[in-house]
Amino acid sequence: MSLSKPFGGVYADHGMRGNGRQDIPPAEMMAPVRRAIADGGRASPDLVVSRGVAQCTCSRAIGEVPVPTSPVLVVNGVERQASRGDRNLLSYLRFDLRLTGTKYGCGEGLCGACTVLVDGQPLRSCMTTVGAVAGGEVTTIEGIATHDALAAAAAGEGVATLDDLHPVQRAFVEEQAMQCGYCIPGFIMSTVGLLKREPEPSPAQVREALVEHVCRCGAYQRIERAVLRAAEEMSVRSERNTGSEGDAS
Amino acid sequence: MRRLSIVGDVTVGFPASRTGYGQATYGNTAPQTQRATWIIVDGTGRVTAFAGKVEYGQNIRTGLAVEVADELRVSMASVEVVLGDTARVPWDMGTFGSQSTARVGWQLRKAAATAREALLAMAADRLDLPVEDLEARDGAVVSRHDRSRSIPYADLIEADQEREIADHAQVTRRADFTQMGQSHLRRLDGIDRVTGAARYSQDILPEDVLYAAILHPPTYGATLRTIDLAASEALPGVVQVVEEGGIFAILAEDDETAALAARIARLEWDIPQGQPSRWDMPALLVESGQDGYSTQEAGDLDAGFKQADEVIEATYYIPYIAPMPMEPRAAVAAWEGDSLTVWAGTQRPFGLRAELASIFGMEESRIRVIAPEIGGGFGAKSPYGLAHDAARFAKAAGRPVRVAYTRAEETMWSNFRPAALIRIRAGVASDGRLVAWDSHAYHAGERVMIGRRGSETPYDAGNIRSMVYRSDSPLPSGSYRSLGAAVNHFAREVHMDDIAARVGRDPVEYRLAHLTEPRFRRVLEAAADDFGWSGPRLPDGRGAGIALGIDVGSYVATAAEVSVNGREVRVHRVSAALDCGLVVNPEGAANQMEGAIVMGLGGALFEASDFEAGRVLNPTFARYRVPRIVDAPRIDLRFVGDDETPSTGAGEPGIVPIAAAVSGAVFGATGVRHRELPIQRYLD
Repeated sequence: MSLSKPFGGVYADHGMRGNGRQDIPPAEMMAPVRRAIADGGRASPDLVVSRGVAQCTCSRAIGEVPVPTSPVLVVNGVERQASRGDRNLLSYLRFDLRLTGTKYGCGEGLCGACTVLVDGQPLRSCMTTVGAVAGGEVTTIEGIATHDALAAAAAGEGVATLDDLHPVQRAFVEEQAMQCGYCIPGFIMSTVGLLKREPEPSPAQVREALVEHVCRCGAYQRIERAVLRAAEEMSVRSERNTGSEGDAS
Repeated sequence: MRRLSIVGDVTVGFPASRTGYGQATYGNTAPQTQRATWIIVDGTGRVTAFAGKVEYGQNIRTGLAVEVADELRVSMASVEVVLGDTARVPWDMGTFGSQSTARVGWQLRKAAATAREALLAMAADRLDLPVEDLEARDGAVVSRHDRSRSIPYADLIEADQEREIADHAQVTRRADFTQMGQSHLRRLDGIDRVTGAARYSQDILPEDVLYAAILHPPTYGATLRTIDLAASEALPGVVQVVEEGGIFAILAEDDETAALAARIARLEWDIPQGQPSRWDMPALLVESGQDGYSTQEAGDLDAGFKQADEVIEATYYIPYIAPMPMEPRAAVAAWEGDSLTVWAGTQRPFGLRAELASIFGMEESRIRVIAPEIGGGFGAKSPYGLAHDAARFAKAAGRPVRVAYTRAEETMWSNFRPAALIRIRAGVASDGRLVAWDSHAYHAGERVMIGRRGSETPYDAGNIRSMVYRSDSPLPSGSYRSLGAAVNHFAREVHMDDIAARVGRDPVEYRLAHLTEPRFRRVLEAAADDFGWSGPRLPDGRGAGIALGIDVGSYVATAAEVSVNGREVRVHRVSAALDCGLVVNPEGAANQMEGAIVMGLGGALFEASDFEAGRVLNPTFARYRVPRIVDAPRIDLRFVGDDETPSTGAGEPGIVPIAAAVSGAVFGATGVRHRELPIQRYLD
């Protein structure tokens, strides 16, 4: 010891060791993750995770139902044929289709950054395979606003404006519900799913639906406001559209 | 395209004088060129500003744009801000220490004011009017007396011109701001972030890119004994196995093949025995403490303790915590002949360029480092070794290579906020007044610098000594939002609460009795007022706590209300006041404060990185709890700074008082004083 203790007292037996418990996320906090996966109806929570690459062991992907060798699926309205059924869905979207708006955050379905919609339901793309969603319709963050202007802007022609966005995207911009923004596509996809199920959610319902997501920058207060704002805007719009025979979207 | 270029000194991006941390830690060399272009106004009237900072969530692109826009009297939307690309922007030491607005923002304001004055002078010539009769407005120079006499900037720029940033250029006075300081300034890059268009380092995918999987050792300090890669190499899709710089990696045509090949590689490691575990930390911190450094001395400590009626002494312990940014590190390297381009989500693109130049023995001019959007970092993404790996692998493969960490790799192979143990002994006179304050802080890390921030007490105790030591660090310790300041503040503020309670005084009143600096008094009073402070005990078994602090030149105070239910602490609401001088972008600053508070709650309540025998036991979200939306309290903020005071940082100060405020609130609710973090581990 290169230093004399500056004063007395016994640091080692002073309760500093705590109870040795790791504070893992409480079960009730993670329940929605399990539920969301189950709700998708395409993956079971029985998952093998290793080195961040998740493999789905559910029967539909690997088991008595054969894995389609070159599954067909629709991604953002475009029909695609994948070369392998056991390709991880997140990897397929990001690396094969170069739809990089869907993010990798944890590879174990606990952060929500990889959320996409499959037939309208939020699903953790890191936890499933292309084969498991064969025949389904996949929507990513790039596909929720269908305006041509946005596609043009994405292709480097012109500038997207707020009007080009989906109301949920717009609400996140208006509330500045983001910092680094890496988690935000996932939050938005879950929000779109939530508002489809529950068009007028209470703050508690918003929190429950989004507890499976992590925003490490901590913009949660704004995210909650953005979701409530989007719900309000969408319900106003849908009332107006219903009144004028327009398409309720 | 014709352009007016404003050039100037780059050493403003050199924050060593403020934090001392960047240079001491990374040994950055000074810039090779002293001058660079900061602003261009081109022949279409478009304004481009250049800064060596990176955008990793702090919204600096918008903050800098609004400063330039206001100085040049153009709308924010017509300003493009180029960041973090060593081929395009002025040299910068790195994005840390909350320096972007304070230093680079100020330089850009001077550059923009220089441009405005140059444009006014050109217009005076053209219109044959005295310059005093002219003003800049909406991207044009206009006569004050006859609005019809005006020339747009675009028309004034007839040839390429260059001007030096003029120190005497008149930056805009507060009263004349039209955009700075406005609430709800919309983010310039907001739309890209909600459409998936924003490109992060994980998203950079050149044609022909190879995906790498690094064969990391299972523990720190392990050495390779045997390796058999036959099965990995035989896997279809595996292109190459490389060993570079002592690191083995698989290169494959796709990510899953690389990961699978890594998983079936057969490696045996020698793992060093006897590595310390988390249980050893408190003792290790004190016993290995060295390089003691005094950050504060006042009066005569012995005399102070002689006057004391009571001596109150306690030890505080804070474990390592992990930054866990949402985006795990990724880097892509591409060689073209003998030129190298690297995309990396680093906070130090210029530092990385210098490192690469040294590794490959190249001129820096042949290396371009681009920091794209960065998915969080909180200080931790200054070291970026995997970019070295990517460049080496790409050279060996003759193709671009992408190295991207998994969540567990990101945690284990980056760096942690240092564990620390702080012992404070305070002397209190019979009237309750502080008369002596002796603090000794042991922070894990290679440099004593790591624990210095925030180690000085603002409370007038008359006789003061504050010592900081560096201690052995079994885990890689590194930067993290406010670094040692959050830890030092936790100990000091809880100790103040403890003393106040023992002498029967209110925590706010007791602090005020020992504070002379008006900026401290103002933030504390503002937070207490907004919170409706009435003492630590609240109805229904709830508790309230309050604490204050200073970091990166900004003053902050925070109050929190909690309830405790078994082993869960719920933080219901937080009121915070910040004095960071002039607030350039209030929404941006508020977002940063809110984020710092939420992040601080994790460390206060449940975050701790556990380790044993060289292994991190909880490197993933399944085992390491971070704050989620259900943990987020209602946060009310007030900026109480003076608009005439130059801006200081807003990204870090919010984290400094929150853990102590929560500890005080838990005391109010339960009567138990928590001196160790995370608090929930000590609730039974």
